[in-house]
Amino acid sequence: MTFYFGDLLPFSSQLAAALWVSIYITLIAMAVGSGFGVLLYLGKAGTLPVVPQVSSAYIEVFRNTPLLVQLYLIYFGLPELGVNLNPTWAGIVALTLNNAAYTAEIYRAGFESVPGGLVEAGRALGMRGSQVFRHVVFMPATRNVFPALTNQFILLFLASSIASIIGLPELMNSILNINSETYRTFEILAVGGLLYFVVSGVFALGSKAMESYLFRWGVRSRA
Amino acid sequence: MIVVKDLHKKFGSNEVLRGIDCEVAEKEVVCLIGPSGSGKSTFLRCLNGLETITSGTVSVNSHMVSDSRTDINVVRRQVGMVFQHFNLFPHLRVVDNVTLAPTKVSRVPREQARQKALALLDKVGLADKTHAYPGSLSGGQQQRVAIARALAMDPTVMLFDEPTSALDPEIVGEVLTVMQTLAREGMTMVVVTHEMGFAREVADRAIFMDGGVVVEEGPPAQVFGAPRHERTSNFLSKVL
Amino acid sequence: MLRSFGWQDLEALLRGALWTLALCVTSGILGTVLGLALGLAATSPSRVARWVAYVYVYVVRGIPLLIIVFFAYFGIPLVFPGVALSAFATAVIALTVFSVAYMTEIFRGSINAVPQGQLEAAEALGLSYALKYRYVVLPQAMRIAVPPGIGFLIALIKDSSLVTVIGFVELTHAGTIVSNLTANPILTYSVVAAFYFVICYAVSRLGRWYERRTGVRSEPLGTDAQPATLQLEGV
Repeated sequence: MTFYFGDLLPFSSQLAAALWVSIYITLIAMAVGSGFGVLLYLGKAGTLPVVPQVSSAYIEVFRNTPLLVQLYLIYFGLPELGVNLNPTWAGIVALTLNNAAYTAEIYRAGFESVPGGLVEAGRALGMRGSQVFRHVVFMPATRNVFPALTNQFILLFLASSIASIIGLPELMNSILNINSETYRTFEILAVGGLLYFVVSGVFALGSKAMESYLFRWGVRSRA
Repeated sequence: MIVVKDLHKKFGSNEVLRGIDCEVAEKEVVCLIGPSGSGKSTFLRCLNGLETITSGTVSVNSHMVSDSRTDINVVRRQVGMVFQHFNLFPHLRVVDNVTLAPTKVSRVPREQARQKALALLDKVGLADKTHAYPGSLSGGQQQRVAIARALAMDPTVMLFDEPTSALDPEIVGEVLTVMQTLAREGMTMVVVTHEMGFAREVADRAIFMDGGVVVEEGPPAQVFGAPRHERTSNFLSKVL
Repeated sequence: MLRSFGWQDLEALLRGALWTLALCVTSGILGTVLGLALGLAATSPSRVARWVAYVYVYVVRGIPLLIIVFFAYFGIPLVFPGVALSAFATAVIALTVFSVAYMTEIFRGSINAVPQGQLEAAEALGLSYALKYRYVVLPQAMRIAVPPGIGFLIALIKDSSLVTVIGFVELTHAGTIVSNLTANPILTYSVVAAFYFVICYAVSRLGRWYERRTGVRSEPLGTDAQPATLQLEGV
């Protein structure tokens, strides 16, 4: 068995374009999904009637079923109800809804881990609830959730490859197309895997750099 | 200045305060002593509404803390509190910890608040740490910042909740010195403490609490020197 | 010929669910055993062993599971032309390769979570490296590893749906077949999702029960139960 990567060269621009699709569907799903995730967390933690139960149910259902099945329900199921989404939109919607459930749990853990003493100190200084949230709780909570959120971003990027199964033209899909055109299976899978690996590594390093810049105040607050 | 009448506090079915009556006059320094679980800290936290009051009345500067219609934040601006675990805001530099409440709560102009913060930090001996983050300070330094932070609101009363209990023995002194200075300057202070030396020297009055009630109170010389109750002398024999 | 969703379809899905379980139990056990070995390598004094473990973990965790599945599916016949592997065996291999990386990280984290004082006490008693791990470190590390291990098992159950792409008839693939026969994707995939939900929810309840009983808690987790703090730290 011999390896020959030369056959892949003509496909490099196709791979680059597909990689960009993977990145931007991840960015959309992360941005919209984490916004939705905050709402889910607030809904779950809040005191409105019914909303906490609905939020909890949403989070549990999405966290306890495979992304692929969620994707199938959206892509194959929704047309039954008259909603036709192309693969790209179906993929983005599935990734977004899925991501929201996970980020909601990340926010919950982040906000719950802010020491109660900080809230008390803010209140003892005469701050209103909203001021305590903005000036006292928000930054430590963000610091607490930041590593988990960037980790989630990387996992979402890797998970976006699942959308190739319904034909979303992202990196994994492009890898499979190139495989069927060249039969350079090992080579294209290796190159594809390397691309995912390098990009997720760059994200990880970038998030570390961002973290040390944003949270220069260092050590976690004491109890 | 502080008037407490028949204060009761329950956590569920557990009654932690069982009818406390107490007055603190202006410029008075009162030390609360007693075994852990006696309700001292809970009592202190009732004074600025960090704990809700089950029954009885608490008034501070003629504001009824126990009345739910009172804007508790108005009271809290006049009452400074120092916590056992400092509770400095970890994401803010020392100077910003001190200016946060004045600028956001009292709407003091930034520069004015900053000047005042620098003066206060100088007073607690931390003029060189203004731009440090709390995480890089020792416990004693953090607690002194916390005192400066509370003083920045120009409180008329300062509450101290075991301010030295989380500190290593050798740095307790630096915090007590700052508190002693405050007392000498005429600050009204209520201090929950296990530092009997401080209570004896600095307090105008010592209050011994046990089981949610005030067992005994009086001038420190009398409470420490000639306790009238057996529970007091038992406690003192263990801690002194 | 289309037909409506009936008992036989439910039965087909149930059979798929059992295959999903078989798949996950097999690769979960293999992943745990091999992950423990690699976890020991990752915490061993040997620099080479640590390096091998790190490279394996970071490579596998940095690429999508689908790539691994396709590697197993296309690659094994290319490397071993004579070997005809069943779809089940191929799926088990792919999921095991995947599991080992995560279980290694879990064991590495758990072994490192055993207080340093325990190791020092064992060394002070004159225990050899093997005895120290056998009687002091591993018994404690195992307890710590259970909650994240259960978290990973849930992730594995969900991720095993991806082997549908190589045609192995596990739960998701059974769903696709039934959906095509009945032209009723909403009902079919809802039942599929319900099966996954019941399995995963039961496993997570088991995990919470363990945490309550032993007081061992897991870290807050991100997608698919990968300990957030363990992702891609410097090799």
